[in-house]
Amino acid sequence: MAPRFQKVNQILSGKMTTKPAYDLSSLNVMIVDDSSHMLQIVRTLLAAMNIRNMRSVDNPEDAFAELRARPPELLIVDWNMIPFDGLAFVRRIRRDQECGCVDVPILLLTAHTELERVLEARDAGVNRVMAKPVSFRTLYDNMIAALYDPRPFVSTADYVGPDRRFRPAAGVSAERRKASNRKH
Amino acid sequence: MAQKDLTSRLRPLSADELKRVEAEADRALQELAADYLSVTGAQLEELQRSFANPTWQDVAWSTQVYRTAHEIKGQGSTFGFTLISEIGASLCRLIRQREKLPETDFNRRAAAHCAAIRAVLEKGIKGDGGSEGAALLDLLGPPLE
Repeated sequence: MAPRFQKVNQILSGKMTTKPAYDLSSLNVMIVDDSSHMLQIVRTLLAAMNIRNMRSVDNPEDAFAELRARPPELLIVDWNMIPFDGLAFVRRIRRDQECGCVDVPILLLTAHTELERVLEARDAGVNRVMAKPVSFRTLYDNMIAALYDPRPFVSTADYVGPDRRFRPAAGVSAERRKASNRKH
Repeated sequence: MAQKDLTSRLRPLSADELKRVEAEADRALQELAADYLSVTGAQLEELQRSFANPTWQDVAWSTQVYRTAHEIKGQGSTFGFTLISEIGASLCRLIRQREKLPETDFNRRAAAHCAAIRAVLEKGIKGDGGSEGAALLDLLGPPLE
């Protein structure tokens, strides 16, 4: 992972630490991307990880039906999609109790790695932002990081997702933050 | 409340096992890369046919044109053809701003983008293409946005 991008991802989920490797073959993964090429690449990489339980959907509208039918354990979403983009999709998932996976770990794929774009993604409720081009290592490391995200999951009137202010070293109580910000 | 730690039910993987998985992934990606030039060539022809007989008022048609340009943009960098991705990104911007440009200007620019992609494919230019790549980008016209 490029140092600059590693740094902006620290903003998303705290300092990136070296995590142990895991066999991801039993994971239930769903990919939402309207690029057939990118779907093929991600599916190829997941297949190399021996993940058999994967579904791919090429438009966000159809994805909701899939989510409701069988919630995944990990969601990989592209930012740039039609008819609505990945961030709108993520916001909707985070607030849609019917989908049954409000707190699902979400990786967002994007070519936009400018800080303000990453912050925009963070504010939508994603767990990790993953820069294109996708390689095995970037995908695998980001999957592990998303599956083991230490941040509390918060739900307020303005935001639903991993705690944007959480810093492990600061010792902030997630419950205290959640309670103090809850507006409904 | 912390999010669920989904790694707790996963089997730890040794460094050697992870290397084997990575090697398998690299091998599978190389197979995709072998098809890259022909797949992109076919997508380029599709774009050229579309630009030759435009029906921009047809939403499905115009969405498909944009999607094809977006695919060309996305796949280049994955396989080391970053110049194609750059041209593809410029083409996506051009399509998004089509209504702001005179038709002749749009057509000229679209043709230049297709010609540049064709040149990169035929010459197999990887990376940014150096001075040759810069010359091709100059042919696309003044940057939009």
